[in-house]
Amino acid sequence: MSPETGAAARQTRVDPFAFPSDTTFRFVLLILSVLGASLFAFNWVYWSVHDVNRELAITFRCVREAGPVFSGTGDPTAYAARTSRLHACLAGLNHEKGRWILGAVGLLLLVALVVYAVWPKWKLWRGKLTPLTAEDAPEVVAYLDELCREAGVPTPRFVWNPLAAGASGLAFGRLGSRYVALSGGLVTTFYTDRDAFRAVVLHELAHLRNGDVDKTYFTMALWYSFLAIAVLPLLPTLHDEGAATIWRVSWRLAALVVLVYLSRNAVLRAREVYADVRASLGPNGAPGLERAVGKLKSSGRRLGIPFLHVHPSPKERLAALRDNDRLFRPGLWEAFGAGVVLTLVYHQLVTLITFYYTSDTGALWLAALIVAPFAAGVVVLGVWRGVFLATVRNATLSPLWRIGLALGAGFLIGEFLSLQNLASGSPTGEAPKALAKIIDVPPTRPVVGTALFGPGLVWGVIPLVSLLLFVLWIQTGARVWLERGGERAARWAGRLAILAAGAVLTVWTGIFFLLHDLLVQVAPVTARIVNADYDAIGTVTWTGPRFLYRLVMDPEAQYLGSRWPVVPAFALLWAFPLAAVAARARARSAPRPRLFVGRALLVGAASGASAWILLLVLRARVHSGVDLSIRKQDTFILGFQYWQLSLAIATQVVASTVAAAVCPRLRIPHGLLAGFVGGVIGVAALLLSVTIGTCVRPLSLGASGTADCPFFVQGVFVRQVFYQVVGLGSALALVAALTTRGAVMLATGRREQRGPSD
Amino acid sequence: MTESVENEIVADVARGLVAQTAPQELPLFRAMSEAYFKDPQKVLEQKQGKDEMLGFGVEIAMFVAPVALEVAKTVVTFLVAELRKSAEKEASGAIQERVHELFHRDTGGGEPQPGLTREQLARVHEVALKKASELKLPKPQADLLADSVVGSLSVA
Repeated sequence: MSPETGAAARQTRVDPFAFPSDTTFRFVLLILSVLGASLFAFNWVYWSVHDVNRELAITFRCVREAGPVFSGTGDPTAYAARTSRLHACLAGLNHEKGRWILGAVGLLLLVALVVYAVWPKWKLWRGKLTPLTAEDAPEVVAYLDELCREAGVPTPRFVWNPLAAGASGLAFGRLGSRYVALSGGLVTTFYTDRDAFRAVVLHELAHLRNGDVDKTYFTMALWYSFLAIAVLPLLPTLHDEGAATIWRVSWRLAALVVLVYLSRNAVLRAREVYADVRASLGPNGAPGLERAVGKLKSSGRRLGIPFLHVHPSPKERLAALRDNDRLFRPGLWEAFGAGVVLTLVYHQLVTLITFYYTSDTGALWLAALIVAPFAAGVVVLGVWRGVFLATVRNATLSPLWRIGLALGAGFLIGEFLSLQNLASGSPTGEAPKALAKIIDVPPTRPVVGTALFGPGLVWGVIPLVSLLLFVLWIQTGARVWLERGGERAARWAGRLAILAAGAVLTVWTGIFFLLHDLLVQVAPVTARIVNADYDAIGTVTWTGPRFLYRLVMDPEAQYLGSRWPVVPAFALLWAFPLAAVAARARARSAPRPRLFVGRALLVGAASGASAWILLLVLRARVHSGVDLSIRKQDTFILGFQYWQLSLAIATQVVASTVAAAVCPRLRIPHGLLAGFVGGVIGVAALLLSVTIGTCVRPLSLGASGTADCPFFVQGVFVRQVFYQVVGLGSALALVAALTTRGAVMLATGRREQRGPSD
Repeated sequence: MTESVENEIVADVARGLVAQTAPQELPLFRAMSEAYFKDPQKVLEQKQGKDEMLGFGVEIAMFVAPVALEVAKTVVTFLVAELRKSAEKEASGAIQERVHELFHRDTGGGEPQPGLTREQLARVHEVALKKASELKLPKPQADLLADSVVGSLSVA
């Protein structure tokens, strides 16, 4: 872009309403964080008003009757039966608790709804507001109608307080009943400063147009309801707790209150800027807006601390009005807040859902599904806005790794703040300790705790690295879509990005906590089983390095990989950015950045085909080189299965590495695509080899030769192998693609950074 | 003089003052004068709204109407006192009528009554200016208001 063109582009205002509003997601996160904190408070209060001893006695009995936790760990059916017995026994207790807590949440919501519904009446009464009629000021009323038409909003009820000094406007109301209040002073400016009058009214109408009124007043109503229904009843229940418990609850609760309060203010400040911009974007503009903003009164400003204000400073507002580009810069605090809410709310939801939903992982997925998409929405919109601006201005995008780290830091802080870490809101004392002893499962430690400075460091690093990569992936998707589809793609592709990122973050959150909360607890048991298998197989055939065997055959890895959302989530990592290959060019003359989907498919197909050949060669070598008596042994069959799985998984790693090396743009998505294709073909090869083995004697393994020809494996087995191979293989393919990209960057002296990032 | 009649005269005078000095406040005048006669202090305080959610408040010059009402009340009280001095035996109803006529000498259909002396007008100007200044009306507006009061009394 020439300097002249750049200057011309700079003069063009970029429409900040091209994307869905990120504050909608932030309002939802606020609501969720209030609900999450309420769940904890109600859980705590529940224990305070119920017979703890009775509940512990029931739990003791249920645990004893269900049998030892680890019985049947190696046998999924036995394990499931034990879990089922325990849940059935505890169902009465859990359902009672669930009903109590849900009832309290219902009361909280009901109070919030009542507050929301009566708030407009209260404002009318408190502000001594009366309808502004043509009898009072006919010219003013006619002009207000005109402004409503211009702003594209249905005419609200205009009310006023003639005695109110200052020129102020205020939008408020509820669904189906919108008001705009005008002060007497503002009405006088209609005659003395028409532009200022117009600016203030258009600003208020912009709040209506932007849908701010319901969100703001409902959030506030929920906030007051939370203080009254959740926080106040909790305080007296602390009187019989020890000083340490009181301190732990109090500071977390205080931190939560401050966090929600500051987040609320931040969102409200953002809404003011958007209302200003909306008002200024009208067909006739708002020439008096800058002047009006410059004269904004400073009453109510608290201690000069920006975070405490519900309005941005006039300086900030003027800057945003003069330079819309500021609205497109992704904010660190938004990402941080999204991370905090994600973990803060997640734990509380898991507790509640577990009362009813007894699937071992269902509660984790469901809780993640409720909160993660909204956290993802905030991050996606921030990143897409930044990339959109950089694309439109043909400018360099500010580094987004900070957004990723902010999200990761928020995730960890939210976990730390989580009230769930206080013994789950359950009773403390000797009895619960005795119960823990019976259960014989080490308590789940918080992700952020004392161990973080020791062996637990990995749990701090995983979210930071993962969420950093997550943000960079969002950036890659935004960049490729906007480059290929142009600005027109922003609106609909941005929405798709929210869905895709929401799905990925949901799965990641579920997997992370599944790994941290459940699987680490049983790792010692599964390790014993896997090691025993490894040693047994080693007596009949070659098994390779132990760590590799554990990686492929460990039930935990198999379990994680076989969760059905995992493979689709991995597929989204390549599918969303590369789907931009179908995007129409933004302009005929504009060059469309090239993608290499065909090349990646070819690499994947070649790798898969190679795997197939190798599998057949392996069968032929086993048939000819291993005695039938050994081939019939279970340990050998297990070892052979391990070889096959390893080969199929390795196919993905190789395909990913090669594709990432030979595709000069978007190396990681191309690598993942190749790995996926290679993995699918590898799985097909593995399964069809069984059929071929039953029909072609030199490839058969069993004693029956070709008598079973053609034998097809069962659907359950197909599904299990597919998820196991492609799930684990995709994770390893991602590592391979990242490594390859890093190696290419090192080899080329970081020249790649000048091109589109991936 | 009965309070309601005096209030009527004060409102009448103040409306005229507002029309001359701050006509943009005329749409507010009715509500403001009603509130003023209920609780003058409240109206004179002229409270600015606070920083409300989704609100947009710009500081503007203070209202003239409450000051006009207070000035009109002070001037009417002064005139009643002056007239009472000169016509002690007159009934209060007659004094009200005289005050009313003083402000409406150009519109009355009857025999023209003698106006105020130059000294009395100067005193009225002084009283009005002092009251407007006490209420922190900016000097130019206070002058204009005092001039308007005298002007409305001086019309021959």
